[in-house]
Amino acid sequence: MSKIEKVFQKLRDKNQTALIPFIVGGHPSLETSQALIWKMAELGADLIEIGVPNSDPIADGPTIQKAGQRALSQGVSLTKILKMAAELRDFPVPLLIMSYFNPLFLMD
Amino acid sequence: MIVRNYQAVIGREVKKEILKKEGKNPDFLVACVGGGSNALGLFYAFLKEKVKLVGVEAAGMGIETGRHAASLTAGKIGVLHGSKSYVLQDADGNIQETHSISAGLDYPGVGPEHAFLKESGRAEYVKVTDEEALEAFFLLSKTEGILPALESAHALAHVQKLAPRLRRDQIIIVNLSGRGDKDVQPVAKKLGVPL
Repeated sequence: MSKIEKVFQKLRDKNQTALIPFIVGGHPSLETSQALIWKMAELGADLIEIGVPNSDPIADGPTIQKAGQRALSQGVSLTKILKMAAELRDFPVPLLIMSYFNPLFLMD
Repeated sequence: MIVRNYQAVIGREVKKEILKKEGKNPDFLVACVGGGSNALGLFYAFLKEKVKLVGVEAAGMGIETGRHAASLTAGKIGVLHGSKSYVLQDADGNIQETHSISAGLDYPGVGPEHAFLKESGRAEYVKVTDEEALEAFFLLSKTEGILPALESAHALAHVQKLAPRLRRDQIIIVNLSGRGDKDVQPVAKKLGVPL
């Protein structure tokens, strides 16, 4: 069973719902993102979603678009976010990376 | 594909008319390429014929400046707006800012069918700068009294380069994809002419 499935199984056993916060990775900076991720885990997040900022965030609302724009202007990229996530190896809470398709396709 | 199917009426009508008028197919078909609909509309009926297909993209201020919209010439394969084709993007897969004096060509992607025509060698894709397109815009206006759309002026600019290399009996058909009435103000602005 994957880390993620284990979390959901545990919650199901306790008849609880999962708390899965989302943040835009690299906003306002990569360092702050890391600090936020630790804090969220500390405060009880079951899983954490990290969004990858994109030049064309057509599926996102204005808040996330703005945050993404700010992160992009700092040079945040899929590569940098994956690196940041890799530094959080064996993190107590499963991390989910959320990206638009093209950057992933290119990374292939 | 839907757009291509609707635009394909262009090529069908062209085929009928050229056969009527000249009794044969043209040697070259030339059209501007932004997203690619008018070009494919012209090309589609001739794909299986012995006709050379040329798509003309917007080189804007010049490819080397990075201020252009030539997806097939300078882009790489990516997924944009739902399809996989050539896209102007950076190394992270973020879409690049494009530039062209013509709004219709100012687009970082291109229809996937054009990507296929390019890779299979069925069609050739060239580029024309803002300056060359403007020159063609004026040339047609002055010689024929027809104001071409700045988009179409790109195709015309290529015809200017192509025609002198051909024999008198060869035929070029260029798609005059739009009217330039809409471009009078941007052109005047570019030249500093008050209207």
